[in-house]
Amino acid sequence: MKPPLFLCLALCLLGTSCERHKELQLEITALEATVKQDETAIQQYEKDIAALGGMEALKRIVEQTQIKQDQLRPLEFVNAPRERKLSAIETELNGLRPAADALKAAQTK
Amino acid sequence: MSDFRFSSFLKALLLLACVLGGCEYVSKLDKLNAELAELKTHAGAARELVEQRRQEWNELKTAKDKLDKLVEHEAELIKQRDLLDTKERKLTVEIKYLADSMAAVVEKTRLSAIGTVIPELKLSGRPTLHNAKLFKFSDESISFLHSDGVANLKATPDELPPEFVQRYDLGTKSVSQRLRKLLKELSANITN
Repeated sequence: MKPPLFLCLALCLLGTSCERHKELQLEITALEATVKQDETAIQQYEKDIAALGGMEALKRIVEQTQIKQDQLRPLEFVNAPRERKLSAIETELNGLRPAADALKAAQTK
Repeated sequence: MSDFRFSSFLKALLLLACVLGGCEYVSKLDKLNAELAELKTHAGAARELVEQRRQEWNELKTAKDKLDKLVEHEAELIKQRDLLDTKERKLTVEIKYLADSMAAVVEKTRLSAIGTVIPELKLSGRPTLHNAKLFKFSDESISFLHSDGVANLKATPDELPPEFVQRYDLGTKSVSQRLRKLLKELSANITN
């Protein structure tokens, strides 16, 4: 007995439908995994941001940075020339010391 | 007749099953498609939020790192300034001590030399003095009484023999004056 044509058609349709269904399920699973990953990342970022005081802290940090820069400028400006000046004085003192010692020695004789 | 009926009934049943199955399939497919579409929207929103949070985090972290670096740099500069303060104090004490002791030594040397008579003193650019008696000292000169004239003669370091200049620590290049100059430079440094 030959199988009726519509039976073949029905089986064929059933096979195709199963295939499409599987594809959709796979796509959904992959997308769910991505969403989960993104949500984890969001949670982590939010945790890190909160640890630094939240986005409200940004303005305060920027202000503090500006104040600190203003405070450091004179220190930077003074330290280097002062270091050079003291080194020059120290060198000159070291050069004068033998002459001073010689004068003192001459006096004690 | 009975065969024909059974076959037609079976066909009708199968057709009905196919139609019902097809409907079920289409319904499931629609449901999945809807779920997928919703998920895609949700995924898009989540991606956007991740990007937004990442930007916020980067901004905050960069600002914090910059501030931390400045604080670190400030600590270095303050440490450097403290070292310079210590060095300056040490130099001031050393120079002051040396200048004071030098002043005392020079003063003593000069005082003990007053009244000394030098039979013949050759001065640069002047006639030779005979029986030159050391009369008075200043940081820049020595005054002599001598047998060649009535007035005393003031000789500058340029005119005096080098051993005199050195022994009595005379002139702008004398050890005492250079030490005093160093002290002045140091105190100028402190007030600046």
